[in-house]
Amino acid sequence: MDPIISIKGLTVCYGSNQALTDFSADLYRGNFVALLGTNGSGKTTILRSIAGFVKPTAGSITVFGIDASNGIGKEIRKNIGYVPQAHSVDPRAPFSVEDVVAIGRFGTAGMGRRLSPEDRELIQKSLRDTGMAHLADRPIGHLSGGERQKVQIARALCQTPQILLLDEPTAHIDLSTQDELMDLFKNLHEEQGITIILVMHDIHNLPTQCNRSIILSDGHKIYDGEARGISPRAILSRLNGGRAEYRVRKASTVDEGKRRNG
Amino acid sequence: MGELFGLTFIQHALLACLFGGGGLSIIGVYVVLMDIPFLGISMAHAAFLGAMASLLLGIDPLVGALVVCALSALVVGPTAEKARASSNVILAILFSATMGGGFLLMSFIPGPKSEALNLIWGSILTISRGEIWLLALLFVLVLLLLTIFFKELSAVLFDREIAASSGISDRLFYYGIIFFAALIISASLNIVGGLLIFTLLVNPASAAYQLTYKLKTMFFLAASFGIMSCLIGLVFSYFFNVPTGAVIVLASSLIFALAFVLSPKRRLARVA
Repeated sequence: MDPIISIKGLTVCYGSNQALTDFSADLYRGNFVALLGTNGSGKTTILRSIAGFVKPTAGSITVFGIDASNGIGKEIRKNIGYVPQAHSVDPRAPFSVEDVVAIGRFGTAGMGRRLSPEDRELIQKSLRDTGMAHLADRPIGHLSGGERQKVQIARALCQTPQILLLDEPTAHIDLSTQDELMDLFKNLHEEQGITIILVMHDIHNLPTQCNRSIILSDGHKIYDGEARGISPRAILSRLNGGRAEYRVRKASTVDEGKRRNG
Repeated sequence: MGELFGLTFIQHALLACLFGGGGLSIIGVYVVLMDIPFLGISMAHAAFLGAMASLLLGIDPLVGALVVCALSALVVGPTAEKARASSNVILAILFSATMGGGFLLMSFIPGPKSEALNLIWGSILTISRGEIWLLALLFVLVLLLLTIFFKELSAVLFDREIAASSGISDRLFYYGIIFFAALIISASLNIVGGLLIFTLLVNPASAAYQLTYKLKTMFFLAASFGIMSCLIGLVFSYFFNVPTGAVIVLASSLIFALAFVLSPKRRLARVA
C-alpha cells in the first residue's frame, strides 16, 4: 500500500533555529497518529509542513503521491482538514459561528460560486456533530476557548477531508468535552476512515483508536511505533535524558513495525 | 439648499462623495479587519508623492499617483503581509519618506502651487467629470467583486491561513485588495488630499466595526459613514467657507466617536 503522506529527511529551520531535523515517516490511509513531545520539539512544524504552511529547509513531503515540498495546491488542500492551535479572537469580530464553519466549504464550492444546498447541509451536520448547532448565530468572539476550538473542528470536518490534522485540539477544553471530542475523532476514524494526525501533550490521554505514536524531542524523532508500545514513564525518561542514543537505536528499528500497523 | 444642488460643480462633488467616500470606506473594511492601517497610510502618501512628481513633469497627477501608489503596494504588500511589529516600523519609515519626498518635489514646482496644494488638502469642488467617471467605474467594480467573491474575501478577512487551508487562494485576494486600494486612493486624492485621505480608509470602517457583528452590515455601514462624512464636509465648507477636506476628516472622526460611545460591543466588554 502506498503511503498517503510520505516525509523524507525533513529539516525545517526558522532563521538560525533548527525546529526539525531529518524527520522521516510514511503515514498510511487509516492511520490514527499521535505526535507527542515537549514544547518546541517540532510537532506543530510537522503538521504545518504537511498542511503546506511551512517550506522545508531540506527533505521532501509527498501528499496523495504529489510532491508538496514547495507548498500544496488548493486541490490537495481541500482534502486536508487543518485545525490550528487555539488562538485568541477579537470579541468584536464580525463573524458568527456558522460563518466560520462555512469557510470549510468555500474551497470545494469553487471560486465566485454560491454554496449549494448540499454545502449548507454539510455545514449544519458539522455543527450538529460537534455540538455547536445551538450556537450557530453567536459571534465567534463570544465563545470560550474550548467552544472556539470545536468551531474550528466543525469547519475542518465540513471540508469532508481524507486527512485531518489536529494541533492540540483538546487544549483549553474541559474534561467532559475532551471525552466528547475523542469519541468524535474515534467515530470519524472508524466510520469514515479518515486519516488523523493529532498533536498532543497529554501522553496519558491518547484516544483509544490511536494506532501509532511518534514522539519527538528537540526536533528529533525518538520513537515511532505502536501507540501504546512504550509506557509514559519510559517516554518521560527518554525525553529527559539519553535520547541521542535512543534516537539512533529506536527510530531506525520501529519504522518497519509501524508500517504493519498502517 | 435647492439652488445649491443645481450647481454643476456641486453635482460633481456629490458624485465624488458617493463614489470616492463609498469606495474608500469599503476598502477600509479590509484595512481595518486585516489590521493593516499603516498599509493604507503608506499608499496614500505614495500617491501624493506620485502626484507631485507628475506636476513637476507636467503630466496628469492621477497617472503619477497611480504608478507610484502601485509601486509602493509592491513594497508595502509583502511587508505588511508579515504582520509583525517590525513591519509597522518599516511602513512608518516608508510613509514618512514618501511624504518628505512629496514636499521636496513640490518645492521644485515653478510658479503658483495651487494644484499641488489641492492635492495636499483636497479640492472636492474642483473635481473634473473625468475623475468622477473613474471613481464611479472603480466604485462599481469594487461592489461587483465584493458581491461575486464575498465568501472568499470574508474567509481571508477572518484568517488567511484558515482560508488557505480550505483551498482559497488567499494571496490572490490579499494582493487584489491592495491593488484596488491603490487604485481608489489614487483616484480619490482630490477629495480630501494626500495628507488626510487615509482617514476615509480607517475612520468609517472603524466606526462600523463598533456597531455590528455581521460582515455584510459592516460593509454597508462603512460605506454609509464614508459617504455621510463627505456630504457633511461638502455642505459645511459651502456654507461656512472652510476647507472641505478638513471638515470631512473631522466629520468621520466625530462619527467614529459616536459609534464608539454607542457601541453595544463596548458595553458588553464593560459588563464582561
